[in-house]
Amino acid sequence: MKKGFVYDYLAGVDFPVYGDFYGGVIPMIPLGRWLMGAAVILLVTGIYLNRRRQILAFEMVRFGGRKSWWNAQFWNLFLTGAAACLCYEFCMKGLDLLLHLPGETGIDEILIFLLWLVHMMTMAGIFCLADLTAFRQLAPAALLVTEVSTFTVGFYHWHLAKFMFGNWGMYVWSDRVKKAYGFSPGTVMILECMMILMMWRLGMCVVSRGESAAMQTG
Amino acid sequence: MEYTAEIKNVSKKFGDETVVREVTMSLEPGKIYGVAGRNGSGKTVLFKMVIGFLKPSAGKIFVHGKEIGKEVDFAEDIGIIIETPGFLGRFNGYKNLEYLACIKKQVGKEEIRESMRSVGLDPDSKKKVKKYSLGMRQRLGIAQAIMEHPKFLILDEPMNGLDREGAAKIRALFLRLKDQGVTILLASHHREDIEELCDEVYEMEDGSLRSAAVFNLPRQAD
Repeated sequence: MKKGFVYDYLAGVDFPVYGDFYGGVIPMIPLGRWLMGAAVILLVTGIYLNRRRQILAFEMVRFGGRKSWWNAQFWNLFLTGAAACLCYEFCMKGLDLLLHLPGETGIDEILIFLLWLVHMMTMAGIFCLADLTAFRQLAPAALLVTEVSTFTVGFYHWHLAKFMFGNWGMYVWSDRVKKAYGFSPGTVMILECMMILMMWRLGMCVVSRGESAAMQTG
Repeated sequence: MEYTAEIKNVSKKFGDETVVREVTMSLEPGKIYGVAGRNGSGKTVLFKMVIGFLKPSAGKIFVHGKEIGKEVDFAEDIGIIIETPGFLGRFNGYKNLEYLACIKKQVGKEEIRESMRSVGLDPDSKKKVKKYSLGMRQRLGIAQAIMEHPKFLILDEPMNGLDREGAAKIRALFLRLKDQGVTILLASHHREDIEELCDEVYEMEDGSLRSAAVFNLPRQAD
């Protein structure tokens, strides 16, 4: 733990793009730290969705329309997820302050928080959409697999890393750290916000069709 | 005659399997309609189509004059119980109803409390719903169905888990609601419910409404 909790848990899995990085072996401990945050947010999302599912039928008839139900479901989840992300970030920052650990400051610290937040919310949005389908139980595992597998592609083919979903929440893979090989934080955040909006829109299409898996349980 | 609900030649298929076959029913205001039938006969699927949760493969359903799935997604001004009612286990009964009432904002605290009292539940009880018995859950389900004073109740096995005394109280409640002009569509395994409550009784078998026995006896609230 050299740079503090914020850096170690939220900034991503760092490795040099040249040379014999980690002997060509994926750094498991940093990756585990990174995935812990994702797992916490997916857990909160799962708890939220499960709770809503318990009263789904009673809730839906009161909303009157599928679209208004989906709007409430998606954006309430968004707020819940964002609140969970902020809590997690504050915990990490709190530990840094408590233990007097150094870390990034100023714009870099804000960037670490924002990239992580937007990335986690993108995953929560995908989970929420998947919850409408028959594959809902696979969603958290599938998201973690996607995160790890795309990160792994970036690890072994570093020139592709900036295009990999698994790296997008990682500040250490932004162009502020990796310069020419890193992604542009602004572009990635816009892209992920567009993905969140796309999940919302796709969900609208699914519920408009009439019979989602979620509705059949009602 | 303006019907509360009209079900016109409605069928439902899941893949190759036909679960509901050309069902036609017209429900008049202020009457209780019973649908009897074995498990898997298609009652719940039919009820879900009337609510709007499922779309018919063929036919049309109108509730309060509006076609379900075309003019409205879900039937308006209804109260429902479908299968065993699910609630938020961590909260007490009142909190659950308050959460649901917040969506439409039609009723206040006193009306929520009154609906709980009418089914024999104590609105001040701190007991969490996860500690409720099946009968208590069922009562809470009925309370949530009636709390916004809907004109149409769709109740799938509302007496599940209720003891004789509880079931009698709920039957009396349904008869009072009927007298107030509420239409009730009810599925039940219990002959007592069907005979004591219903003005018209249908029997569902293999997705078809095979026979219709009509009890034209006037019913009064206890």
